[in-house]
This record gives sequence, structure tokens and C-alpha cells, in this order.
Amino acid sequence: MVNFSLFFVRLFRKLIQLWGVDYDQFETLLQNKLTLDFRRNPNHLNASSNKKQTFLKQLFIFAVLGGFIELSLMQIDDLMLSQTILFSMIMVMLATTLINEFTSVLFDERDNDILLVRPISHRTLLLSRLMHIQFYMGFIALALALIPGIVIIFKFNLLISLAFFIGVGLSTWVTLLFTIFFYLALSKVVKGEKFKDYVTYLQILLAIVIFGGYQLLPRMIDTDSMKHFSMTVHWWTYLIPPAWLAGFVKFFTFNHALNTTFFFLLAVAIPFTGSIVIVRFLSKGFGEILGQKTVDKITNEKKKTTKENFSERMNRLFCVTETEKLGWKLTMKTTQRDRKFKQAVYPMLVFIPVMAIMILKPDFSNLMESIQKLGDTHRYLYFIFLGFFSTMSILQLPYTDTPEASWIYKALPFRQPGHIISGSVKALLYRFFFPVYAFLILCALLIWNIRVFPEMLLGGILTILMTLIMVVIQQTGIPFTQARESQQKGNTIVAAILGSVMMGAIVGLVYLSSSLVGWLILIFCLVAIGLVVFTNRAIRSKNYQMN
Amino acid sequence: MKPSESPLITIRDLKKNFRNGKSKNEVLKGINLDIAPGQIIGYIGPNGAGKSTTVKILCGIIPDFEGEIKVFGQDLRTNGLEIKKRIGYVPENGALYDLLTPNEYLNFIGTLYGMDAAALEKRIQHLLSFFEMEKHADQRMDTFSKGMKQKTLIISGIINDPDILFLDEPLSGLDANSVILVKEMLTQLASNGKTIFYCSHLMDVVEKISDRILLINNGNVIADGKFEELKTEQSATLEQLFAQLTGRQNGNSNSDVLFKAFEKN
Repeated sequence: MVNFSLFFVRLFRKLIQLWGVDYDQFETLLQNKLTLDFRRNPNHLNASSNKKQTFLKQLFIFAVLGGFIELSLMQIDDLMLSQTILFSMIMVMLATTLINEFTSVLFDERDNDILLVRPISHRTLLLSRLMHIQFYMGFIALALALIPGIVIIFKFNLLISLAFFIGVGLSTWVTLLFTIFFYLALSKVVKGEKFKDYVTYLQILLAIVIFGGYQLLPRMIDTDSMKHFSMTVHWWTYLIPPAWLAGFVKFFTFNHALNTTFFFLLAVAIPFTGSIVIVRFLSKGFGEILGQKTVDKITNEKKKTTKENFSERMNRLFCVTETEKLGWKLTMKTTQRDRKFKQAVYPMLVFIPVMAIMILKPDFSNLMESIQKLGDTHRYLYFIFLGFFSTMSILQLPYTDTPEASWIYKALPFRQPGHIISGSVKALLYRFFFPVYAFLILCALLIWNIRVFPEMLLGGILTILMTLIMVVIQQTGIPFTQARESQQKGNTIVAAILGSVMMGAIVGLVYLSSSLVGWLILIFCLVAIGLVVFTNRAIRSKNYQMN
Repeated sequence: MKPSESPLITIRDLKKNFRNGKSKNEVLKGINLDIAPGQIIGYIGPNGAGKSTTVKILCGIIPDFEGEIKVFGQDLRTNGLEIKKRIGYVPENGALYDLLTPNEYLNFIGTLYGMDAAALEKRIQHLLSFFEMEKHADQRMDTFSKGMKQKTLIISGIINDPDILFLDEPLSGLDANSVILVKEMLTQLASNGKTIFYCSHLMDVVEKISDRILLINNGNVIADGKFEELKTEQSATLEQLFAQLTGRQNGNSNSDVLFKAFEKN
């Protein structure tokens, strides 16, 4: 894979030199990066750290995804229209992957001290980073395009299929150029640490848009009516990159209509002129971003607040032992500051409103009436289910970027790791579950009325109970001690499925109890609280192995 | 370039602020320096005084600064690439690609300087054997001790035969024998007309090897000259001089605080 890619890049040697890049340096940098990527790190011996395997698995998933996309577009006869939609989907997916997974590669500051002192121009460095990302993006794009490309052979012919694959290659590069252009523009407006923060917000926002988009778009697109629809070209169509690429493919049907030719020219010209503009003229901005990142962290001297705030009072209320209180504080502080934690958890929280709309399906044109209708149903039970998503943050608890720091747990005379964990779990429940669930209860009380309160309460306590049981079953590690890369991606899904099944049982239980009289439910609540306390004891007293 | 009378590095009114949102941190507050060829400069100062920042600016890692810097008579802002070809840098944080072997890593760095493959090969062999690293030349560095990594870093700093070498705490992690090797290397390089910019907290080493000592505190140079010229009645060693100039004259009060820290209630 690596050698083939390097060979492929070599074909463009002359072109790359034209952009003002030192080709030999560029190739050395690229080769070095790819070698490092595929060299196994012996510190993580588990299979998931084998990047080649993980990457191949990922490619397979993208190929399947491409199949589904093609399936939904099969019906559309018009080549231009179907290609425009297809390229839009591919490019959105590529941009998301790029921003979420490869931003750190683009602005990797870890080798600043190695590379920035060498006589490497910003152009060369930027292009080597872009090409490094293009390597992965190229394969992802190919995987996505595989099934659509094969279908094109049967629907049209081999030539168009080939044109399509070249178009996919171009689309990757265009996406990459647009993204870096966006980052360079952003860096002109916000600097330093703020830049990092904004990139994180962007990543969270994108995760939300993508998740919402995939849920809502299929409902909005009516493929039946598009079947014989053909695309009309307006002046603004020339501003849509996917349309250029669709025109590029259509050009090979020997349809040399003026607008097709124009799209074709745009699809070819933009990547090349764009590369020149970005690599030749704008790469200085890239060097500035990297330079800013070398800067040693500024220590802000914040005023110490002597007043006990609300969270500290809650700490004393919920945590019994000193070690537990410590775990709570550690978790509160870390979750407020760790960007990567936020990045993993906040999108999960956004599932909740999106899911609420999907499940309740309110009629927005007649909101009041549909809410009133809702009042006659038992749908508030779903709210109990939704609260569960905010407890998923616990899956992120053991992970950190600085696992080295965990030596303290081994070195200190420290016998109660379970107390740290129970304190942390409580902190996460307090920080994420309580506010979300309180809001859900409020909504439920507004739509239904006070009579659902005991059931919601019981549901909430049972959710907490289940979360604690999951912590016991899953052997959640000591907070912030394991390398984030060692996290097995599949675990989240397994936990989500397992949790959903258990939540189903809980919702069923609450439904059954709804036929009982109120005070009996309150007794159930008390029993559940007893179980929560008991499970919490179990977490605390458990003997955790440090590894 | 032959060592000549004109200064190798001139720094005029160098200032550097780090901004984060609204907060601003002035690290360098106007540094003026002329550095002649063939000297070993000991660059010392308390933690956070701005030593590493100065070096990072001179090496081109931090591109934006106020003031004017000329190296080899060329402007650092416009001729950065040309200057970088002739300087070497050993970072303090030990950054290197430890999934590579020393051979691979040094080859990678040398290739970035555009060195001829055969000449590079030969130089790597010689330098590895000077630092007694031949045995480990083809082992991956992720298993290395800090000292072995540090030796590789030092070699990577001189692989391009630089005219100016910046060293940031180069002895960290080295055993006593390796320290002797590095000192030997430094004196040899200096006698060949190379300029060495040596940042360290180890006062005794700096005192012994430096031709000229620069003491920086709060972003200003507060002492500059040969150790013999700088030392006074009260400060016979560099350590004492350092303490005197950077505001720790009153040793008693500090030990009082320490004593209080361990007081029982």
C-alpha cells in the first residue's frame, strides 16, 4: 500500500516541483510518516493497535456504506443528478472524517522540535502533511466509491466508471484543499489555544450535523419523485463542487454540451490552481499555526475562590470517603478541561434531542395539538430511555492522553482504587445525567402532568442502578489512566446495545408499575435506592488490578 | 565561511509575547546581543526566564517575534531556510521518532538536509562510533534509555556539520562517560571555529566550558561576559553568582518556609 502510493506520487514529481516544493525532502517526509504509521508500537500489544488491520476494517465499513448510498440512488435515471448527489455524500463524509480524525495529523506539533529546525520550507512541510492525509482519504474514498463504481459499469460502461474513479480522486483532493483553506482562514481570525477550542467546537458541531442529517435526510428526499427528474443548471450550480465532478463524469458520455464542458474544466482546473494557491502562496499561514503550537503553555493565575460552590456542596453530599471526594474532584476538573473528553461525550448528549424528535415525531405545523395528543399516550416512558444516553459518558472515563501519569497509583501507598472510581462515576452522573434527566422530567411534567412524576423518578433511579451495575460488569478502569488509542472502538457499540436491552427491561418495569398506586411506586424507589447504595459499595470494595 | 571579526549572530531589541485570548505574557523584553564565531556561550537563567524561547526563535521554530535578528549576516525572517542549513539544534524535550532505529532516524534527518547518501552514511557511522552507539544502531529507539536517545539527538544536531549549534540541556540523562564525550565534542567543535549556544541549569558545567556567560532573568539579559569578569567577592562560583543576581540572596527566609511546611499543626 505504502510503496504503491509513493510510486503514484512520484508520477506527479514535476507538477509538485512547480508548486515550489523541494521534492526530495517531500518524499522523505512522506515516507517517514507512513513508515511510522505502519510500524507497530510494542507498548500496545493488543490487536487493535495494528493500524493496518484497523484501517482495513474501517475501509470495509466505508465500502458497505458506499453500497447503501448507491442503493438509495439506483432509481435516479439522470446521470448528472445522481452523480451530484453521490459526490455530495462522498465529499461530506470525507470532510467529516478529515476534520474529526485527521486534524490532529495536519497540525501535529509533536515533531515541531524535529522538523522546524531543518531547512524545510512551509510549502514542503504542508504538502507532505496534506499528502499523508490524502493517502488515507484516498483509500477511504475508493472504498466508498467501490460499489457505486461497479454499478456504473453495468448501468453505463467501463469508461464512465473509470472517469468516476478519477473524479473520486479529485474530489478527495478538493475536499482536502477546501478544509485546509478553511483552517487557514480561521487561524487568521482566532489564534493560539483559542484556535484549538474552535476546531473542537467545529468537530462537535459536525458530529451533530452528520448524525442529524443521516436521520432526517432520507425522510426528506423522495426518491420516487426524482426518478425521472433531471437536473436544471442554474448559475449557482457552478459554485457547487460536487456538480463539477458530476459534470466531469458526464463529459465522458461524450455529451459535450456547453455546461458539461464547463463543469469538466472546473473539476480539472480547481484542484490544480487550488493547490498552487494553497501550497505556493498560503503555506506561510500553516507555518504560523505550527509555530504557535510550540508555545509553552501560559499559566494563568486565576483567583482562588474561597467560597464553597454548589458542586463542592454536592460533592460532600454524595461522596462519603475522602478518596471518593478526590475522585469526584479529579473527574469534575478533567471533564471541564480535557478537549478530547468533550469531543467524545458532547455528541452523545446531542443524540438526546435528535432522538426525542425522532421518537415523538411531533407535527411541527400543529405543535400544540400534537403535544396534546401526546398527553394521552404513555410515550413519556421513552424519556426514561433517553436519559440513558447521558450515562454513556462513563465509557470515556478511563482514557487520557497522558497515561504515563498513572504511575502515582502504583507508587503511592494507595489501597482504595475503588473509591476513586465510585467518586468519579458519581461526578459524571452529577455532571451529565442529573441535568439531562431533570430537563426530561420537566418536559414530561409539562406534556403529561404531575401524575407521571413517581414513574419518572423510579426510571431515573433504576437508570443510575443500571449504570453502576455496568461499571461493575465492564470493569471500568481507574479514571484517566489508559491511553486513548488503546480504546477499542467496538466497546461503545457493545455497551450501547447491552445498555439499550437493560433499559428496555427498566422501561417495561416502570410501565408495569404505572398501574400501581403512587405510594407503592415510592416504595419501589426506596428499594431501588437501597440497591444503588449496595452496588456503589460493591464498586468501592472491588479490588482493581493496575496494569 | 571562515570565522571573521564581524558578529555571527546579531540580535536587536528582541521581544516576544505569548497571547492566549486576552491574557498576554511577556517572555522576552528587548534582548540585544552580538555573538562572535568560535565561542561557547553559556546561556543560563531561572526557570521560565525565556532561555528556551530565545533558542527556539533563533532556530526558527517560533516564527513570529518583534525585533531584528541576523545570523551569518542574513535576516532570519527572510532567509530562514538558508540559515537553517547551517545550524544544529538539540531540543530539551528529547523529541525524536522513537519507532525508528538510530540509523534510520539519522538518515532521515540527513536526507532532509539534502546530504549525499554515501557521505551521510559515512558520517553516521563515525558519529555513532564516537558515541559508542554502533551496537545499537539498528535497534528501535522505543526500547532505549533516556541517555541513549539523548546521544542520538546530539548526533542528529551535528549531522549537517553546523556552524552554530544550539544545545538545550544536552547532558540530561547521560552517564558520566557520555558527559565526558559531549564535553570533548564541544571543545573540539569550538576549536574548529564553530559557535556553541549552550543552555543549562548545571552551573558547574557552564562555568567550566563557557567562553562567555549570558544570564537572563525576566526576559532581560542581566549579566554578560567571561566568568572571571563577572565573579565578585561574594560569589566565587557561578552558582553563587546566579543566586545573587536572580534574587535569592536571603536564603534564611526560604528555609523557614520549608520548615513551616512540615510543621505538625
